[in-house]
Amino acid sequence: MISAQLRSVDSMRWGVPCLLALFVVVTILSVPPASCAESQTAPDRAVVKVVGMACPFCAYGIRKHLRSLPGVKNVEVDLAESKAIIEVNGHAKPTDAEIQQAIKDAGFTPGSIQWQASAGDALTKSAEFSVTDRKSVV
Amino acid sequence: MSASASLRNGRPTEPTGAGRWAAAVTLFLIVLPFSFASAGPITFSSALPVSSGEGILRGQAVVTRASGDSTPMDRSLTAVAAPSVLVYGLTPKLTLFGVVPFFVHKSINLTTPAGSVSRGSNGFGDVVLFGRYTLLQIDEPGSTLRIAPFAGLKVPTGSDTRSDMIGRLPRQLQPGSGSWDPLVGMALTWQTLPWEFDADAGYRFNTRADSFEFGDVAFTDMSFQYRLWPRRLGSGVPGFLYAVLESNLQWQGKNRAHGRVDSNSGGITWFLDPGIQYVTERYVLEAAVRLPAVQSLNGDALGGDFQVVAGMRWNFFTPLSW
Repeated sequence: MISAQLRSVDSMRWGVPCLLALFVVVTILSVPPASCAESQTAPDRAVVKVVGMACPFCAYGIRKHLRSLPGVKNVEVDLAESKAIIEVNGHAKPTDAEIQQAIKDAGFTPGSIQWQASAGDALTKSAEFSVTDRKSVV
Repeated sequence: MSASASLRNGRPTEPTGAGRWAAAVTLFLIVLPFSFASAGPITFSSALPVSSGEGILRGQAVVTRASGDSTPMDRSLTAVAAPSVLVYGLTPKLTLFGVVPFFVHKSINLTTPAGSVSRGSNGFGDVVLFGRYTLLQIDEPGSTLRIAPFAGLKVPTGSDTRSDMIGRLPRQLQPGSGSWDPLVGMALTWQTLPWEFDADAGYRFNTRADSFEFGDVAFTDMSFQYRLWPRRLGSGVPGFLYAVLESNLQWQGKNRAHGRVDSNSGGITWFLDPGIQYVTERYVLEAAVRLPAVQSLNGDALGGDFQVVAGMRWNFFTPLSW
């Protein structure tokens, strides 16, 4: 009976640290590696304010001039928000100066330009990573 | 395409002379609405921008009717024109225009001592070429204010020597004027997302051709377009449906023939034009009716009953840009 109790104590001495270590490992692997995903994803879209745009017929020239910039794969125009959203293909990217000139060539005034990574893509990638890793741990 | 004359009672009219016919058919110069192609007013120019390298093609059909003659001649006039306008944005501020009246039909019916007579002609009209430069541009989110002077020239590409069995047609019934006529003006546009206001003023110097000179024309126009639909803007670029009301005020000087003033020509007209317009990113559909609100015409000049204008515009891009 005493040896069984001693064996029980020894099990607890090694089992608790192991459980703690396992808990730490699982916790670390469960954290969405968002920062890791962001640092590996370059900004691939720009939200450009177009000042003076106030009718549908005028949006055509804006779209065409932005679409002709290097690396641009798609342009969406939003009249109500006075903005254009440029998506780039990742191999090339227009400079802010090129974007501003394109807006001027279309006959309007360029406003602010905000580069951002596609938020949906970043979250999707990080979610897939964590789910996959959890499965492998379990 | 030829001039024609028909006699309703079967008897040919006696030659009355060019002067008598000119007086008989004296009527207010049929002025095609000089409407530029960028989205905006239906019957005149706007100051809206055309992107560098962008082209716009505009086609119109214009039907004019004038009757209600108080003289014993009981004149009535019908005119149909199908002008096309080609627009090109040379730079973001400089836009070039070419108005090409591919088809112009004019006919008049009147009563003479010998019976009823119809005279008229069909043909290619006078081309108008001009440029417009944006002098002032104030852009705000969702609105823009532009002021742009324009200047150009009407070129005598239409025939002015048509004849029929009676003789040479009066100048007013010829497809072309035969003269080179410069014009200048200024356009203003204040465009916002829910509405747009446009105005212009200009002057056309009509010159002499073969001893005949139409009176100069001074004009000023206004347009207000109100967005009926959509009531609330969502994302993207939806099509806009506008209710339109325009005003066309015009003064025309008296014609001169062989140095003599035609006292039955010229005057002042003021037209009000209700219309409708549907504008998308690639095309515009529009129609308006021009109704005379005031017609103060000299002598026996024939006033207009109405004019119907309908058309569409389509924009495209060219590989050419400066």
